[in-house]
Amino acid sequence: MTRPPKKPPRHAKKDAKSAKMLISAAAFSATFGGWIAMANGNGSSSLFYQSPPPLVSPLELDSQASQQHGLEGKRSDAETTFPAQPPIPLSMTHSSR
Amino acid sequence: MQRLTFRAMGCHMLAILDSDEPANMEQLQQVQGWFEEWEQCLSRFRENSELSRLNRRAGRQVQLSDVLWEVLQTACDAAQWSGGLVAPTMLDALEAAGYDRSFEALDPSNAPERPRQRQFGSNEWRDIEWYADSHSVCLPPGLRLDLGGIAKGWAADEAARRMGKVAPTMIDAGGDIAVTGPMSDGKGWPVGVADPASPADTCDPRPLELLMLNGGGVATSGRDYRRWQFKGKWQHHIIDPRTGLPAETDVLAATVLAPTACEAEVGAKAALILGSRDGLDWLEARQDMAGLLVLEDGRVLRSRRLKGYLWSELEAHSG
Repeated sequence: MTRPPKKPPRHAKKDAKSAKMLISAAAFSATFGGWIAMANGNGSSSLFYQSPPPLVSPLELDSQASQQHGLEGKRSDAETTFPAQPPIPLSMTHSSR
Repeated sequence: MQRLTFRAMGCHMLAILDSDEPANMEQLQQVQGWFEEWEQCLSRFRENSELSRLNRRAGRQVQLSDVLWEVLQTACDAAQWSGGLVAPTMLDALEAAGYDRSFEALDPSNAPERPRQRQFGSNEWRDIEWYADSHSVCLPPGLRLDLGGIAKGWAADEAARRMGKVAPTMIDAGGDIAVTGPMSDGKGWPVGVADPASPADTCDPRPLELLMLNGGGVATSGRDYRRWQFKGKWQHHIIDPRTGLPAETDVLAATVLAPTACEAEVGAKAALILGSRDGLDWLEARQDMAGLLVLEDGRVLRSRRLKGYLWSELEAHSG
């Protein structure tokens, strides 16, 4: 859901140095949403609002994935968050020894 | 799950029974006795084995036990379907290359010179005379047989077949592995493919690949371990029947999955002898085989059907 834009924060100045500092915050904003200053390459910068990504729990994501694949039911949180560990091989094939 | 380890046929053996029933351990322990019986029949390194006696009586009709009869038939069938790439008639060539005693007794730094006893012929297995009524054969004069890898693969299959009546079983005969079907929980048996580049005696050998076996067998043929120096040159035990010499190939080790461990053993050897390009084509042409080739330069080539056996692929699709 996109919230209406707020007033630009005071510290978002248009000089290139400040823009560089704020660019480093871009990754943060991409995750949580907020105002981002982007350098334009000509010394100027522009300001835009990055919407936060939808807040969906891993369990809900898994449920969505299951529905897409025609599967039913939900798997445990642990299963969806971490890939399964490979089993320990009971034996190894190798050249004659 | 119950395990039995022992040494036979010059290799480490492992038998696993997927059952916790204590009474089944007694049956599992029979496996060692079976291997001893088969080795006494099929070994070329034992002077008094049935095979050695047969080799000494070439040119005469000799009655065979059921085991030698069956394994010799299996070996000649394999020579047929492998296009002669894996034949039981390479003993003279093996000894001429310096492999004239068990590998444990061989000095890898200086194998003794032994002249080839007779002219090499790659298709001599076709000249063996078979007498089905009396279970006897007649080898062409001078011909001697070596059942090496075929015997191990056959033994893994046969032991698995017998133990499979008790519970799901895996038999590992020195790297030739047969399983009877899925494990008791319905999952495949996790089997690693050893990396020929990593030391064999390491405590935690990391597999090159992790396979899931729901049946059949897997085997690896390699020139990374059984090798020795002969006249200052490194030799190995995989003879190319087309030349009668240790195979000159860019494949260091070949691993093949097949309906049986015996077929996997033959497939792996054939692919190694053929080299990377022809070996991979040869594997791709066989619907019931999959495999991977580790090359001398470190590259790993995988056949298309190998995906169906890789844990990583199976896990990705089940998730």
